[in-house]
Formats: sequence, structure tokens, C-alpha cells
Amino acid sequence: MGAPTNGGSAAAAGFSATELQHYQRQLLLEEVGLEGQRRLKRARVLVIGAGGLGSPVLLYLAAAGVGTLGIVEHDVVDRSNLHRQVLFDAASIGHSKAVQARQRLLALNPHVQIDLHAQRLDERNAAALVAAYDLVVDATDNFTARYLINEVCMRAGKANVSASILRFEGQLTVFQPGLGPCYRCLFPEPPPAHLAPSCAEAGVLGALPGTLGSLQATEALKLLLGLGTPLVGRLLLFDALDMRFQTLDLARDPQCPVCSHLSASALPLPACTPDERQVQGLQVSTLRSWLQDAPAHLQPWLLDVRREAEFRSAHIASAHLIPLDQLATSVDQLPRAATIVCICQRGQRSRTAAQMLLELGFPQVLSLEGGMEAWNSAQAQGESRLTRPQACVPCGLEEVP
Amino acid sequence: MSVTIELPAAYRRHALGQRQVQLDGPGPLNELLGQLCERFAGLKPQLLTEDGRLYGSVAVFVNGVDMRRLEGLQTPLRSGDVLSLVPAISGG
Repeated sequence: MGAPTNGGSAAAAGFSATELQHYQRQLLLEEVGLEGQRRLKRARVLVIGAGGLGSPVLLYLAAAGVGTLGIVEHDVVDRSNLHRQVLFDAASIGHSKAVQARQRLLALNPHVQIDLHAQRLDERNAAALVAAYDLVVDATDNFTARYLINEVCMRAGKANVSASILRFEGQLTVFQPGLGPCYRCLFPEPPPAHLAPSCAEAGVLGALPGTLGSLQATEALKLLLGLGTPLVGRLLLFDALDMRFQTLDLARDPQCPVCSHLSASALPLPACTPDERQVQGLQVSTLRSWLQDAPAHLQPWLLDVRREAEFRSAHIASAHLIPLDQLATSVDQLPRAATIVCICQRGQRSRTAAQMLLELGFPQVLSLEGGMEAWNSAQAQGESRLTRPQACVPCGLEEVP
Repeated sequence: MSVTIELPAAYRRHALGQRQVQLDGPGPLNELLGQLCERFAGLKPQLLTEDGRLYGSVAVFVNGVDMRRLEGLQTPLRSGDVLSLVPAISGG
């Protein structure tokens, strides 16, 4: 870990400066931000199977900062695994997959915790394992495990992000207890043995689990962050040969022995903490009066978080440029005593920036509503005093006549 | 007047490698499945048990909707309908 540049405030948000750098591109997403990142950090996800599907699932969830990942895997690495199980390399052959996976994941992101369950999932241990996590990812390779995971997750009210692959095809869905069908609704009984070849028997294209596992990780992150529409009640089919995705609408079986009695369960959103404060907006007219009337020591500190090219085109005279993607590593440049007003083009990025600063412990942070577009519009109506700087320190531009 | 049946890769080798098969409609879903198994004998043991029941490991969709949301095996199929057969797979 690198030395934190702003240890105190970063720690207040629950992240080191190194972590903030690691997650920088993800923090930029307004839908994630620091609040979402903290949700991920608090989340506990159980990944059952660390093979073809489990490899990309674990890599992406660890990289994204899911705080605790449990791995259920009893097998050892075989050379025939290496064309698709990208967690491992030739040096892993003969070693425990679970142990090798943990080493690889901690090398990728040392800020997450990896819990190993180096055992075969069975009826004796399944309930206790699932109960200890918020969300389950089924990345197993056999029907016995799939039906068992389904039953245990339904009983425990835990969502199950389930994918399966064979040869050139894959299937993906999310089983959310009570909200959609379960695995047994979809497939009431497993196929007879002669119709159920494994990848070892029928073969599998190496990149196929990469595709399905990445989608599985995406669904898991969506669920943890409360984003988008989860793949509940829908089955995604992927045909690599035709490069075709298809989504089918599933039905609950009213006679299903596993889930027909269940009512809707809660999605696995880790709870917010009380200190996740709301960003307050600032109207253009208020900022204008403030800049005109307040004495120097009560002036706001204007933080423009747009890209440099946007800033160059026009900005408020006293604004300081720190693009949003550099903010996490530049917080030491900001005054803690002043009120900071975040500004962007339309008021979206500035809210993300303001949320980030609030989470980092800055006491007074506002977001300019409507951003520069609102400011410019007000100027056009004769209300603003948009000016170009005499000599802009942040971008080094000279005054434009 | 035809109904399209979409076959997953696992079934195509039993249907001359075709991804889609056109069958004569209209008719109830189970009749169309019977027609499919008559035309491609190799598909019958993939889809039906020895006593002619559809395996519980095969999901059937009509125009992207689970047949159980419709009328199950009695769902009437019309010209232009698309039937998708989805077998359970377990690889990971």
C-alpha cells in the first residue's frame, strides 16, 4: 500500500488514499460514488466454484472492492483447467484452487478479505455457508450442487446469481426468492445422466466462461449497488457460434415445492450508514449574490470538476480546476475552513464531487444546480458575471480579450 | 403457415446442423414437438422420456415467454410463432 496523501479524511470515509485511487474510475460513476463503494466494501458475497465461471467472477468482484468474498472450492488445479480458469497459471498446477485463488485475488486487491471454504458443498454445510453472506454466485459445474444451492438460497432468502456453460453456449439468470422463479421452477428435474454431459466430457470454448462470468459479476455488482434492472425472472442465453444474446421471460411454478410458498424477499442491499449525508444544491442566483456581496474571508471556494477543455472554454473567474477523476487524489489542495461549491457543466458531476467531499469529512460542500449551463443562461439574461481570468492559475491560460 | 423452432447447439447435430427448423402450423405446442421428433428422430430421446413426457430439464418458450405462462403444452401456436427449446446445462 502506498502512503496515504490525506490519511485523516480518507480514513473518515473508510478508505485509504490507495483504495480511492484503485476505485477511481468506478467512483466517477454517479451511480456508484463513495456511497456505492462503501456498500461494496460492506458486502459479503459467496462464490461457489472457482473454476471457469468463478475465475472472472472472483477477479471482477475483488477488483471492484467487494469487501468479503467467500470461496467454496475443494478441487486442485489441473493443467486442463488453464485454458479457461484465468485465476490460475502453470505454477498453480497440483495446488488447492481455493488457496491459489486467494493469493491471486489479494495480489489484485489487498483491500478485500477472502474467506476460504476448501470443502465440497453438501447438505450438511450449505445452509451455514449461505447464511453468512449477503449474496450467492452459483459457479458450480454439476446439477446436484445447483439444486442444493437453489433450495438453500430460497430458504435463506438470499439472491443467487446463477450461470452455466457448455461447449459454445451459456445461460444466466438471477434467482431472487419470492420475486421470480427459482431454479426448480425453470428446470423441475435434472436431466438423466446421458443428457447431462459436463465440460470435461463435451468440451467448452475457453473464452465462454469469461463472457458468462463477467456478466455474472455485473449482475452481482448491480444487486449490491441497487442499480438497474436485475435479471430476475429472465433467462439470458448466449450463443457464441452465432454471437447472439437472447432474453426469455421465465414463469414461477405455482406448484414449485421449493419456492411457491415464498413471498417477495428483500434485495441484498447492504444498509446505508447514518453518516452518508445528502448533497445540498446551490442556485445560480444565490451564488451570484454571494460572490458579489460577501467579504473576502466569507467567499466560497469554487471547485470546477469538469475536464480541462471544458474549463478552458469558459469558467467562473475565481474557480479552481480539479477534474473529477483527479479529485480523490487532490483533496489536500482543498481548504477545510471554507465552503466549497462544486461546479460542472450541468450539475451532475458536481453532485458526485460534493458527495465525495462530504464523505471525506469536508464540513461545508454545495453543488451548483444546473452547472455552467445554468450560470451561462443566467448571464445571457444579464444576471451573471461570467468572466475569463486575468491569468488562470490552474490551466495557465492568459486572458482572452 | 409455419412455426419456427430454435434449437440450441446441443440439439443441432440431431437436426442436420440447423439452428432453426420450420414446421407446419398452426397447432398446439405438443403436436409441434411431436412433429419435430418425427422429422428428426435423434431429437426425440433428447426431449421426451420413454413414455413420451417432456423432460423436466427442458424449458420451452413461445415467442420468448415460458410456456407455463401460457397454456403449457396445449398452447396454440400460430403461423410466425417462434418456439425456443432450452435444455438445462450445468458446466461452470
